[in-house]
Amino acid sequence: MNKDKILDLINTSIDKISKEFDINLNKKNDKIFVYGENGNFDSMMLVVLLAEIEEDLLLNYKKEVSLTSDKAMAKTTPFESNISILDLIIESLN
Amino acid sequence: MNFNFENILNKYINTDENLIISKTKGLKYSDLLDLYNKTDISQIKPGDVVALIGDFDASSVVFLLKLIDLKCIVVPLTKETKNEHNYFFENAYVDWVIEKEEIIKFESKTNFVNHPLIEKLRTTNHAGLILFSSGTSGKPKAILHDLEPFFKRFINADKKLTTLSFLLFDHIGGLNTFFYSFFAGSKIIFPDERKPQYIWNLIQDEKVELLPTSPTFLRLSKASVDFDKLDLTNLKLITFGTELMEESLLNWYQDKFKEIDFRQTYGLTELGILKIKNEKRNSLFITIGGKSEFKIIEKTLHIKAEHPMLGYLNSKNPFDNDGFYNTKDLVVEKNEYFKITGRETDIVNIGGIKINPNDLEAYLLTNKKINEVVAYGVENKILGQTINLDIQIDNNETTSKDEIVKFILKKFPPIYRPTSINFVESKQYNHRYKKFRKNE
Repeated sequence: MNKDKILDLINTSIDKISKEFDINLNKKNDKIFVYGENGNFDSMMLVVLLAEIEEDLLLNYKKEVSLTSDKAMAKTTPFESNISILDLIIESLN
Repeated sequence: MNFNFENILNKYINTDENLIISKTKGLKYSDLLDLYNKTDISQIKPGDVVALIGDFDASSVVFLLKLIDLKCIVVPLTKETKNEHNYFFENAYVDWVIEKEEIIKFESKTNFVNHPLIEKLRTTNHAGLILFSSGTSGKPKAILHDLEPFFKRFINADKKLTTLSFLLFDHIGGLNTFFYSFFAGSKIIFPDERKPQYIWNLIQDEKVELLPTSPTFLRLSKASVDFDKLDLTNLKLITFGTELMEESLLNWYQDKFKEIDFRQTYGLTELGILKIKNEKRNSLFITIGGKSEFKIIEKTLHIKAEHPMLGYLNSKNPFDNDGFYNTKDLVVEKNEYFKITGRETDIVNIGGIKINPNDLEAYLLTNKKINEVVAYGVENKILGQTINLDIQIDNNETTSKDEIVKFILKKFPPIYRPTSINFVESKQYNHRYKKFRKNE
Protein backbone atom coordinates (compact mmCIF):
# COMPACT_ATOMS: atom_id res chain seq x y z
CA MET A 1 0.00 0.00 0.00
CA ASN A 2 1.35 3.39 -0.89
CA LYS A 3 1.57 6.63 1.00
CA ASP A 4 -1.21 8.35 -0.98
CA LYS A 5 -3.70 5.61 -0.21
CA ILE A 6 -2.93 5.83 3.51
CA LEU A 7 -3.26 9.61 3.42
CA ASP A 8 -6.61 9.27 1.63
CA LEU A 9 -7.75 6.89 4.35
CA ILE A 10 -6.65 9.34 7.09
CA ASN A 11 -8.30 12.31 5.39
CA THR A 12 -11.54 10.42 4.88
CA SER A 13 -11.61 9.49 8.57
CA ILE A 14 -10.83 13.06 9.67
CA ASP A 15 -13.62 14.34 7.46
CA LYS A 16 -16.07 11.75 8.79
CA ILE A 17 -15.30 12.33 12.47
CA SER A 18 -15.35 16.13 12.11
CA LYS A 19 -18.84 15.86 10.61
CA GLU A 20 -19.95 13.45 13.30
CA PHE A 21 -18.90 15.86 16.06
CA ASP A 22 -19.81 18.93 14.02
CA ILE A 23 -16.49 20.79 14.07
CA ASN A 24 -14.69 22.90 11.47
CA LEU A 25 -11.36 21.74 10.12
CA ASN A 26 -8.30 23.93 10.07
CA LYS A 27 -6.40 23.28 6.82
CA LYS A 28 -3.20 24.66 5.31
CA ASN A 29 -2.49 23.36 1.78
CA ASP A 30 -2.57 19.54 2.11
CA LYS A 31 -2.14 19.66 5.86
CA ILE A 32 -5.20 19.22 8.08
CA PHE A 33 -4.62 20.15 11.70
CA VAL A 34 -6.03 17.64 14.15
CA TYR A 35 -4.92 17.85 17.78
CA GLY A 36 -2.87 20.58 19.38
CA GLU A 37 -2.45 24.31 19.02
CA ASN A 38 -4.00 24.59 15.55
CA GLY A 39 -6.33 21.59 15.55
CA ASN A 40 -9.98 21.62 16.56
CA PHE A 41 -10.22 18.02 17.80
CA ASP A 42 -10.58 17.49 21.54
CA SER A 43 -9.15 14.40 23.24
CA MET A 44 -12.32 12.34 22.84
CA MET A 45 -12.58 13.14 19.14
CA LEU A 46 -8.90 12.28 18.73
CA VAL A 47 -9.36 8.90 20.39
CA VAL A 48 -12.34 8.15 18.17
CA LEU A 49 -10.40 9.24 15.06
CA LEU A 50 -7.42 7.04 15.93
CA ALA A 51 -9.67 4.05 16.57
CA GLU A 52 -11.41 4.69 13.24
CA ILE A 53 -8.11 4.84 11.34
CA GLU A 54 -6.81 1.69 13.04
CA GLU A 55 -10.02 -0.16 12.19
CA ASP A 56 -9.96 1.00 8.55
CA LEU A 57 -6.34 -0.11 8.14
CA LEU A 58 -7.24 -3.50 9.51
CA LEU A 59 -10.42 -3.95 7.51
CA ASN A 60 -9.19 -2.60 4.17
CA TYR A 61 -5.51 -3.51 4.19
CA LYS A 62 -5.22 -6.23 6.87
CA LYS A 63 -2.63 -4.09 8.66
CA GLU A 64 -2.66 -3.99 12.43
CA VAL A 65 -1.31 -0.69 13.66
CA SER A 66 -1.39 0.85 17.13
CA LEU A 67 -1.37 4.62 16.94
CA THR A 68 -1.12 4.90 20.71
CA SER A 69 1.87 2.58 21.22
CA ASP A 70 4.53 3.69 23.70
CA LYS A 71 6.75 4.58 20.75
CA ALA A 72 4.08 6.78 19.16
CA MET A 73 3.18 8.43 22.45
CA ALA A 74 6.85 9.27 23.12
CA LYS A 75 6.97 11.56 20.08
CA THR A 76 6.40 15.31 20.20
CA THR A 77 2.91 16.20 18.91
CA PRO A 78 2.31 12.87 17.14
CA PHE A 79 -1.31 13.74 16.36
CA GLU A 80 -0.81 17.34 15.28
CA SER A 81 -2.05 16.74 11.73
CA ASN A 82 -2.93 14.23 9.03
CA ILE A 83 0.73 14.30 8.00
CA SER A 84 2.10 13.46 11.46
CA ILE A 85 -0.42 10.60 11.74
CA LEU A 86 0.69 9.39 8.30
CA ASP A 87 4.30 9.39 9.52
CA LEU A 88 3.30 7.27 12.53
CA ILE A 89 1.61 4.70 10.31
CA ILE A 90 4.49 4.53 7.80
CA GLU A 91 6.95 4.09 10.65
CA SER A 92 4.84 1.42 12.24
CA LEU A 93 4.51 -0.51 8.95
CA ASN A 94 8.25 -0.48 8.24
CA MET B 1 -34.17 -26.54 65.12
CA ASN B 2 -37.10 -28.83 65.77
CA PHE B 3 -37.49 -30.43 62.39
CA ASN B 4 -35.82 -32.94 60.22
CA PHE B 5 -36.49 -33.77 56.63
CA GLU B 6 -37.55 -37.31 57.37
CA ASN B 7 -40.50 -35.90 59.37
CA ILE B 8 -41.44 -33.50 56.59
CA LEU B 9 -41.40 -36.31 54.04
CA ASN B 10 -43.66 -38.31 56.35
CA LYS B 11 -45.99 -35.31 56.75
CA TYR B 12 -46.62 -35.12 53.00
CA ILE B 13 -46.48 -38.86 52.39
CA ASN B 14 -50.07 -39.01 51.20
CA THR B 15 -49.73 -36.06 48.85
CA ASP B 16 -50.40 -37.57 45.49
CA GLU B 17 -49.03 -34.70 43.43
CA ASN B 18 -45.52 -34.53 42.12
CA LEU B 19 -43.17 -32.44 44.22
CA ILE B 20 -40.46 -32.17 41.62
CA ILE B 21 -40.60 -32.38 37.88
CA SER B 22 -37.13 -32.74 36.49
CA LYS B 23 -35.62 -34.42 33.46
CA THR B 24 -39.17 -35.04 32.25
CA LYS B 25 -39.82 -37.25 35.30
CA GLY B 26 -42.10 -36.55 38.22
CA LEU B 27 -41.12 -37.22 41.83
CA LYS B 28 -43.51 -37.49 44.74
CA TYR B 29 -42.70 -37.08 48.46
CA SER B 30 -43.31 -40.80 48.82
CA ASP B 31 -40.61 -41.54 46.19
CA LEU B 32 -38.18 -39.41 48.14
CA LEU B 33 -39.05 -41.00 51.50
CA ASP B 34 -38.63 -44.44 50.02
CA LEU B 35 -35.19 -43.53 48.70
CA TYR B 36 -34.35 -41.71 51.97
CA ASN B 37 -34.85 -44.95 53.90
CA LYS B 38 -32.78 -46.98 51.44
CA THR B 39 -29.80 -44.58 51.24
CA ASP B 40 -26.88 -45.47 53.48
CA ILE B 41 -24.49 -42.73 54.63
CA SER B 42 -23.40 -44.47 57.85
CA GLN B 43 -19.69 -43.93 57.17
CA ILE B 44 -20.16 -40.14 57.33
CA LYS B 45 -20.15 -38.45 60.77
CA PRO B 46 -21.93 -35.30 61.99
CA GLY B 47 -19.81 -32.23 61.23
CA ASP B 48 -18.06 -33.79 58.22
CA VAL B 49 -17.74 -31.63 55.12
CA VAL B 50 -19.31 -33.40 52.15
CA ALA B 51 -19.14 -32.31 48.51
CA LEU B 52 -22.29 -33.45 46.76
CA ILE B 53 -22.06 -33.39 42.98
CA GLY B 54 -25.53 -33.54 41.53
CA ASP B 55 -28.65 -31.77 40.42
CA PHE B 56 -32.25 -31.58 41.59
CA ASP B 57 -32.75 -35.29 40.87
CA ALA B 58 -34.04 -37.88 43.34
CA SER B 59 -30.68 -39.23 44.46
CA SER B 60 -28.98 -35.82 44.96
CA VAL B 61 -32.00 -34.40 46.78
CA VAL B 62 -32.13 -37.39 49.15
CA PHE B 63 -28.39 -37.19 49.89
CA LEU B 64 -28.79 -33.46 50.55
CA LEU B 65 -31.66 -34.03 52.99
CA LYS B 66 -29.92 -36.90 54.79
CA LEU B 67 -26.66 -34.97 55.15
CA ILE B 68 -28.48 -31.98 56.61
CA ASP B 69 -30.40 -34.23 59.00
CA LEU B 70 -27.06 -35.70 60.11
CA LYS B 71 -25.74 -32.09 60.73
CA CYS B 72 -23.06 -32.28 58.08
CA ILE B 73 -21.60 -29.33 56.19
CA VAL B 74 -22.72 -29.76 52.58
CA VAL B 75 -20.97 -28.40 49.48
CA PRO B 76 -23.47 -28.75 46.61
CA LEU B 77 -21.74 -28.79 43.22
CA THR B 78 -22.80 -29.47 39.64
CA LYS B 79 -21.02 -31.34 36.88
CA GLU B 80 -20.90 -28.08 34.87
CA THR B 81 -18.03 -26.89 37.10
CA LYS B 82 -16.09 -30.18 36.89
CA ASN B 83 -12.80 -28.48 35.98
CA GLU B 84 -12.86 -26.58 39.25
CA HIS B 85 -13.93 -29.44 41.53
CA ASN B 86 -10.48 -30.08 42.95
CA TYR B 87 -10.09 -26.41 43.79
CA PHE B 88 -13.51 -26.52 45.47
CA PHE B 89 -12.68 -29.67 47.47
CA GLU B 90 -9.44 -28.17 48.76
CA ASN B 91 -10.88 -24.76 49.58
CA ALA B 92 -13.96 -26.17 51.33
CA TYR B 93 -11.88 -28.57 53.49
CA VAL B 94 -13.89 -31.48 52.11
CA ASP B 95 -13.82 -34.87 53.91
CA TRP B 96 -16.08 -36.80 51.51
CA VAL B 97 -17.21 -36.57 47.90
CA ILE B 98 -20.51 -38.01 46.74
CA GLU B 99 -20.94 -38.46 43.01
CA LYS B 100 -23.27 -40.83 41.17
CA GLU B 101 -24.40 -42.31 44.49
CA GLU B 102 -20.84 -43.30 45.41
CA ILE B 103 -19.28 -42.01 48.65
CA ILE B 104 -15.52 -41.45 48.37
CA LYS B 105 -13.11 -40.25 51.08
CA PHE B 106 -11.25 -37.13 49.98
CA GLU B 107 -7.59 -36.82 50.97
CA SER B 108 -6.47 -33.21 50.86
CA LYS B 109 -3.05 -32.38 49.50
CA THR B 110 -2.90 -28.95 51.13
CA ASN B 111 -5.16 -28.67 54.18
CA PHE B 112 -3.97 -30.75 57.11
CA VAL B 113 -5.69 -28.72 59.81
CA ASN B 114 -9.29 -27.64 59.86
CA HIS B 115 -10.47 -24.10 59.31
CA PRO B 116 -11.42 -22.33 62.58
CA LEU B 117 -14.84 -21.29 61.18
CA ILE B 118 -15.66 -24.93 60.39
CA GLU B 119 -14.50 -25.98 63.87
CA LYS B 120 -16.69 -23.28 65.41
CA LEU B 121 -19.73 -24.43 63.44
CA ARG B 122 -19.14 -28.04 64.51
CA THR B 123 -19.31 -27.08 68.20
CA THR B 124 -22.88 -25.79 67.67
CA ASN B 125 -24.03 -29.11 66.16
CA HIS B 126 -25.70 -27.21 63.31
CA ALA B 127 -25.70 -28.31 59.69
CA GLY B 128 -23.71 -26.06 57.37
CA LEU B 129 -23.56 -25.06 53.73
CA ILE B 130 -20.56 -24.04 51.64
CA LEU B 131 -21.20 -22.27 48.34
CA PHE B 132 -18.70 -20.75 45.95
CA SER B 133 -18.83 -17.27 44.46
CA SER B 134 -18.78 -17.18 40.65
CA GLY B 135 -15.16 -16.04 40.59
CA THR B 136 -15.72 -13.28 38.03
CA SER B 137 -13.40 -11.01 40.01
CA GLY B 138 -10.68 -13.43 41.06
CA LYS B 139 -10.67 -16.99 42.38
CA PRO B 140 -14.06 -18.34 43.58
CA LYS B 141 -14.53 -17.69 47.30
CA ALA B 142 -15.74 -20.44 49.66
CA ILE B 143 -18.74 -19.03 51.56
CA LEU B 144 -19.72 -20.82 54.78
CA HIS B 145 -23.27 -20.58 56.13
CA ASP B 146 -24.85 -21.95 59.29
CA LEU B 147 -28.01 -23.72 58.03
CA GLU B 148 -29.93 -23.25 61.28
CA PRO B 149 -30.92 -19.60 60.57
CA PHE B 150 -31.12 -20.36 56.82
CA PHE B 151 -34.00 -22.78 57.44
CA LYS B 152 -35.87 -20.62 59.98
CA ARG B 153 -37.63 -18.73 57.22
CA PHE B 154 -38.98 -21.94 55.69
CA ILE B 155 -40.62 -23.39 58.81
CA ASN B 156 -43.85 -21.48 58.20
CA ALA B 157 -43.70 -21.59 54.40
CA ASP B 158 -47.31 -21.71 53.25
CA LYS B 159 -47.56 -20.09 49.83
CA LYS B 160 -48.22 -22.99 47.52
CA LEU B 161 -47.18 -21.80 44.09
CA THR B 162 -46.14 -24.09 41.26
CA THR B 163 -42.67 -22.75 40.55
CA LEU B 164 -40.30 -23.03 37.62
CA SER B 165 -36.71 -22.85 38.82
CA PHE B 166 -33.87 -21.76 36.57
CA LEU B 167 -31.22 -21.77 39.21
CA LEU B 168 -29.03 -24.73 39.83
CA PHE B 169 -28.09 -27.01 42.68
CA ASP B 170 -24.94 -25.01 43.54
CA HIS B 171 -26.68 -21.62 43.79
CA ILE B 172 -28.24 -20.09 46.90
CA GLY B 173 -31.26 -18.99 44.85
CA GLY B 174 -31.81 -22.52 43.53
CA LEU B 175 -31.61 -23.97 47.05
CA ASN B 176 -33.88 -21.23 48.40
CA THR B 177 -36.54 -21.95 45.77
CA PHE B 178 -36.25 -25.69 46.30
CA PHE B 179 -36.47 -25.59 50.11
CA TYR B 180 -39.33 -23.08 50.16
CA SER B 181 -41.35 -25.32 47.83
CA PHE B 182 -40.36 -28.42 49.77
CA PHE B 183 -41.51 -26.99 53.11
CA ALA B 184 -44.70 -25.52 51.62
CA GLY B 185 -45.52 -28.73 49.78
CA SER B 186 -45.73 -27.09 46.38
CA LYS B 187 -44.64 -28.34 42.98
CA ILE B 188 -41.34 -27.22 41.52
CA ILE B 189 -40.23 -27.69 37.93
CA PHE B 190 -36.59 -27.89 36.87
CA PRO B 191 -36.38 -27.40 33.10
CA ASP B 192 -34.19 -29.63 30.95
CA GLU B 193 -33.17 -26.71 28.78
CA ARG B 194 -33.35 -22.96 29.08
CA LYS B 195 -34.31 -21.69 25.62
CA PRO B 196 -37.10 -19.10 25.90
CA GLN B 197 -39.68 -20.86 23.70
CA TYR B 198 -39.19 -24.16 25.59
CA ILE B 199 -39.51 -22.44 28.97
CA TRP B 200 -42.68 -20.55 28.04
CA ASN B 201 -44.28 -23.74 26.65
CA LEU B 202 -43.40 -25.46 29.92
CA ILE B 203 -44.95 -22.61 31.90
CA GLN B 204 -48.15 -23.06 29.90
CA ASP B 205 -48.20 -26.89 30.04
CA GLU B 206 -47.30 -27.27 33.72
CA LYS B 207 -49.55 -24.36 34.76
CA VAL B 208 -46.64 -22.57 36.41
CA GLU B 209 -47.62 -19.80 38.82
CA LEU B 210 -44.23 -18.38 39.80
CA LEU B 211 -41.29 -17.70 37.49
CA PRO B 212 -38.09 -16.47 39.14
CA THR B 213 -35.85 -15.29 36.30
CA SER B 214 -33.40 -12.67 35.01
CA PRO B 215 -33.82 -9.54 32.87
CA THR B 216 -31.66 -11.18 30.17
CA PHE B 217 -34.11 -14.06 29.87
CA LEU B 218 -37.04 -11.64 29.66
CA ARG B 219 -35.24 -9.59 27.01
CA LEU B 220 -34.50 -12.68 24.90
CA SER B 221 -38.07 -13.88 25.31
CA LYS B 222 -39.47 -10.56 24.13
CA ALA B 223 -37.36 -10.84 20.98
CA SER B 224 -38.15 -14.47 20.17
CA VAL B 225 -41.46 -15.65 21.65
CA ASP B 226 -44.94 -15.06 20.26
CA PHE B 227 -46.79 -14.61 23.54
CA ASP B 228 -50.16 -14.29 21.83
CA LYS B 229 -50.04 -17.99 21.01
CA LEU B 230 -49.59 -19.00 24.66
CA ASP B 231 -52.05 -19.44 27.47
CA LEU B 232 -50.31 -18.05 30.55
CA THR B 233 -53.39 -17.50 32.68
CA ASN B 234 -51.94 -19.49 35.60
CA LEU B 235 -48.83 -17.34 35.85
CA LYS B 236 -49.27 -15.00 38.81
CA LEU B 237 -45.81 -13.74 39.65
CA ILE B 238 -42.53 -13.11 37.82
CA THR B 239 -39.55 -12.20 39.96
CA PHE B 240 -36.31 -10.95 38.47
CA GLY B 241 -32.92 -10.27 39.97
CA THR B 242 -29.18 -10.91 39.62
CA GLU B 243 -28.67 -8.00 37.18
CA LEU B 244 -30.12 -4.66 36.11
CA MET B 245 -33.58 -4.39 34.60
CA GLU B 246 -34.24 -1.50 32.23
CA GLU B 247 -37.54 0.32 32.75
CA SER B 248 -38.56 0.07 29.09
CA LEU B 249 -38.45 -3.73 29.27
CA LEU B 250 -40.36 -3.87 32.55
CA ASN B 251 -43.00 -1.52 31.14
CA TRP B 252 -43.38 -3.67 28.04
CA TYR B 253 -44.06 -6.79 30.13
CA GLN B 254 -46.38 -5.01 32.50
CA ASP B 255 -48.44 -3.64 29.61
CA LYS B 256 -48.55 -7.05 27.98
CA PHE B 257 -49.41 -9.01 31.14
CA LYS B 258 -51.62 -6.83 33.27
CA GLU B 259 -52.64 -9.73 35.56
CA ILE B 260 -49.07 -10.76 36.40
CA ASP B 261 -47.23 -9.21 39.31
CA PHE B 262 -43.60 -8.35 38.54
CA ARG B 263 -41.24 -8.05 41.48
CA GLN B 264 -37.57 -7.36 41.77
CA THR B 265 -35.43 -9.52 44.04
CA TYR B 266 -32.00 -8.80 45.41
CA GLY B 267 -29.47 -11.03 47.12
CA LEU B 268 -25.87 -11.99 47.55
CA THR B 269 -24.61 -15.40 48.64
CA GLU B 270 -22.55 -13.74 51.39
CA LEU B 271 -25.67 -12.19 52.93
CA GLY B 272 -28.02 -15.17 52.86
CA ILE B 273 -31.59 -14.60 51.76
CA LEU B 274 -32.85 -11.03 52.21
CA LYS B 275 -36.44 -9.87 52.56
CA ILE B 276 -37.07 -7.48 49.69
CA LYS B 277 -40.00 -5.09 49.49
CA ASN B 278 -40.90 -3.40 46.21
CA GLU B 279 -42.02 0.24 46.38
CA LYS B 280 -45.01 -0.37 44.11
CA ARG B 281 -46.01 -1.85 40.77
CA ASN B 282 -44.05 -0.37 37.84
CA SER B 283 -41.21 0.71 40.10
CA LEU B 284 -37.68 -0.58 40.28
CA PHE B 285 -37.22 0.92 43.75
CA ILE B 286 -36.88 -1.66 46.51
CA THR B 287 -35.98 -1.77 50.17
CA ILE B 288 -34.70 -4.41 52.56
CA GLY B 289 -37.03 -5.58 55.32
CA GLY B 290 -36.84 -7.95 58.29
CA LYS B 291 -34.02 -7.43 60.72
CA SER B 292 -31.44 -6.60 58.07
CA GLU B 293 -30.18 -3.03 57.76
CA PHE B 294 -28.65 -1.03 54.94
CA LYS B 295 -26.82 2.25 54.46
CA ILE B 296 -25.64 4.10 51.39
CA ILE B 297 -22.12 5.48 51.35
CA GLU B 298 -21.05 7.49 48.30
CA LYS B 299 -23.91 5.97 46.26
CA THR B 300 -22.79 2.43 47.15
CA LEU B 301 -25.04 0.01 49.01
CA HIS B 302 -23.80 -1.52 52.28
CA ILE B 303 -25.89 -4.19 54.01
CA LYS B 304 -25.91 -5.70 57.49
CA ALA B 305 -27.82 -8.95 57.02
CA GLU B 306 -29.83 -10.71 59.70
CA HIS B 307 -28.18 -14.05 58.90
CA PRO B 308 -25.03 -13.46 56.88
CA MET B 309 -22.40 -16.07 56.11
CA LEU B 310 -20.08 -17.11 58.92
CA GLY B 311 -17.24 -16.06 56.66
CA TYR B 312 -15.00 -16.97 53.75
CA LEU B 313 -12.78 -20.03 54.10
CA ASN B 314 -10.20 -18.76 51.62
CA SER B 315 -10.38 -14.98 51.80
CA LYS B 316 -10.32 -12.26 54.43
CA ASN B 317 -13.38 -11.12 56.35
CA PRO B 318 -15.29 -8.60 54.17
CA PHE B 319 -17.50 -7.14 56.94
CA ASP B 320 -16.69 -3.83 58.62
CA ASN B 321 -16.61 -3.45 62.41
CA ASP B 322 -20.38 -2.90 62.55
CA GLY B 323 -21.10 -5.98 60.43
CA PHE B 324 -21.89 -4.14 57.18
CA TYR B 325 -20.90 -5.63 53.82
CA ASN B 326 -20.01 -3.42 50.86
CA THR B 327 -22.11 -4.83 47.99
CA LYS B 328 -20.33 -2.60 45.39
CA ASP B 329 -23.75 -2.01 43.87
CA LEU B 330 -24.42 1.61 42.96
CA VAL B 331 -27.83 2.95 43.91
CA VAL B 332 -30.02 6.03 43.85
CA GLU B 333 -32.19 6.71 46.90
CA LYS B 334 -35.83 7.68 47.23
CA ASN B 335 -37.09 7.90 50.84
CA GLU B 336 -36.47 4.47 52.37
CA TYR B 337 -36.21 2.84 48.92
CA PHE B 338 -33.30 2.53 46.53
CA LYS B 339 -32.79 1.55 42.91
CA ILE B 340 -29.73 -0.33 41.68
CA THR B 341 -28.04 1.57 38.85
CA GLY B 342 -24.92 -0.52 38.24
CA ARG B 343 -21.81 -2.10 39.68
CA GLU B 344 -18.93 -0.03 41.00
CA THR B 345 -16.61 -2.32 39.05
CA ASP B 346 -18.48 -1.71 35.76
CA ILE B 347 -17.93 2.04 35.83
CA VAL B 348 -15.80 3.25 32.93
CA ASN B 349 -13.46 6.13 33.62
CA ILE B 350 -12.86 8.15 30.46
CA GLY B 351 -10.35 10.92 31.04
CA GLY B 352 -11.56 11.31 34.63
CA ILE B 353 -15.24 11.29 33.70
CA LYS B 354 -17.08 8.32 35.15
CA ILE B 355 -19.60 6.66 32.91
CA ASN B 356 -22.09 3.97 33.83
CA PRO B 357 -22.25 1.56 30.85
CA ASN B 358 -25.70 0.42 31.99
CA ASP B 359 -27.13 3.82 30.97
CA LEU B 360 -25.87 3.30 27.45
CA GLU B 361 -27.10 -0.32 27.32
CA ALA B 362 -30.58 0.64 28.54
CA TYR B 363 -30.84 3.36 25.88
CA LEU B 364 -29.55 1.13 23.06
CA LEU B 365 -32.12 -1.53 23.96
CA THR B 366 -34.89 0.96 23.16
CA ASN B 367 -33.72 0.63 19.52
CA LYS B 368 -35.91 -2.07 17.97
CA LYS B 369 -33.06 -3.38 15.82
CA ILE B 370 -30.98 -4.34 18.85
CA ASN B 371 -31.64 -7.58 20.75
CA GLU B 372 -28.71 -7.59 23.15
CA VAL B 373 -25.89 -5.23 24.00
CA VAL B 374 -22.95 -5.20 26.36
CA ALA B 375 -21.04 -1.93 26.94
CA TYR B 376 -17.66 -2.18 28.64
CA GLY B 377 -14.50 -0.24 29.23
CA VAL B 378 -11.24 -0.96 27.41
CA GLU B 379 -7.84 0.44 28.18
CA ASN B 380 -6.81 3.48 26.19
CA LYS B 381 -3.41 5.18 26.27
CA ILE B 382 -4.83 8.68 25.86
CA LEU B 383 -7.99 8.72 27.98
CA GLY B 384 -7.35 5.81 30.35
CA GLN B 385 -10.41 3.96 29.13
CA THR B 386 -12.98 4.16 26.34
CA ILE B 387 -16.24 2.36 25.74
CA ASN B 388 -16.63 -0.61 23.41
CA LEU B 389 -19.88 -2.30 22.46
CA ASP B 390 -20.82 -5.85 21.58
CA ILE B 391 -24.19 -5.78 19.84
CA GLN B 392 -26.49 -8.53 18.72
CA ILE B 393 -28.86 -7.33 16.01
CA ASP B 394 -32.33 -8.75 15.47
CA ASN B 395 -32.23 -11.38 12.70
CA ASN B 396 -34.72 -9.46 10.57
CA GLU B 397 -32.89 -6.14 10.78
CA THR B 398 -29.79 -4.55 9.33
CA THR B 399 -27.81 -1.64 10.67
CA SER B 400 -24.33 -0.15 10.57
CA LYS B 401 -21.76 1.16 12.97
CA ASP B 402 -22.46 4.72 11.79
CA GLU B 403 -26.17 4.32 12.44
CA ILE B 404 -25.50 3.08 15.99
CA VAL B 405 -23.11 6.00 16.65
CA LYS B 406 -25.69 8.50 15.39
CA PHE B 407 -28.30 6.91 17.61
CA ILE B 408 -26.02 7.23 20.66
CA LEU B 409 -25.04 10.84 19.96
CA LYS B 410 -28.72 11.80 19.66
CA LYS B 411 -28.97 11.26 23.42
CA PHE B 412 -25.50 11.26 24.95
CA PRO B 413 -22.49 13.63 24.90
CA PRO B 414 -19.47 12.63 22.73
CA ILE B 415 -17.70 10.96 25.66
CA TYR B 416 -20.17 8.06 25.34
CA ARG B 417 -19.19 7.47 21.72
CA PRO B 418 -17.78 3.91 21.56
CA THR B 419 -14.38 3.52 19.92
CA SER B 420 -15.28 0.06 18.71
CA ILE B 421 -18.59 -1.62 17.91
CA ASN B 422 -18.60 -5.35 17.38
CA PHE B 423 -21.59 -7.05 15.82
CA VAL B 424 -21.80 -10.46 17.46
CA GLU B 425 -23.99 -13.47 16.88
CA SER B 426 -23.10 -15.64 19.83
CA LYS B 427 -24.95 -15.40 23.11
CA GLN B 428 -23.77 -12.82 25.61
CA TYR B 429 -25.09 -14.48 28.72
CA ASN B 430 -24.11 -17.45 30.87
CA HIS B 431 -26.04 -20.63 31.79
CA ARG B 432 -27.83 -18.64 34.49
CA TYR B 433 -29.05 -16.13 31.90
CA LYS B 434 -26.90 -13.38 33.30
CA LYS B 435 -24.93 -11.06 31.02
CA PHE B 436 -21.22 -11.63 30.53
CA ARG B 437 -19.19 -8.54 31.28
CA LYS B 438 -15.77 -8.26 29.67
CA ASN B 439 -14.19 -6.25 32.47
CA GLU B 440 -15.22 -8.64 35.23
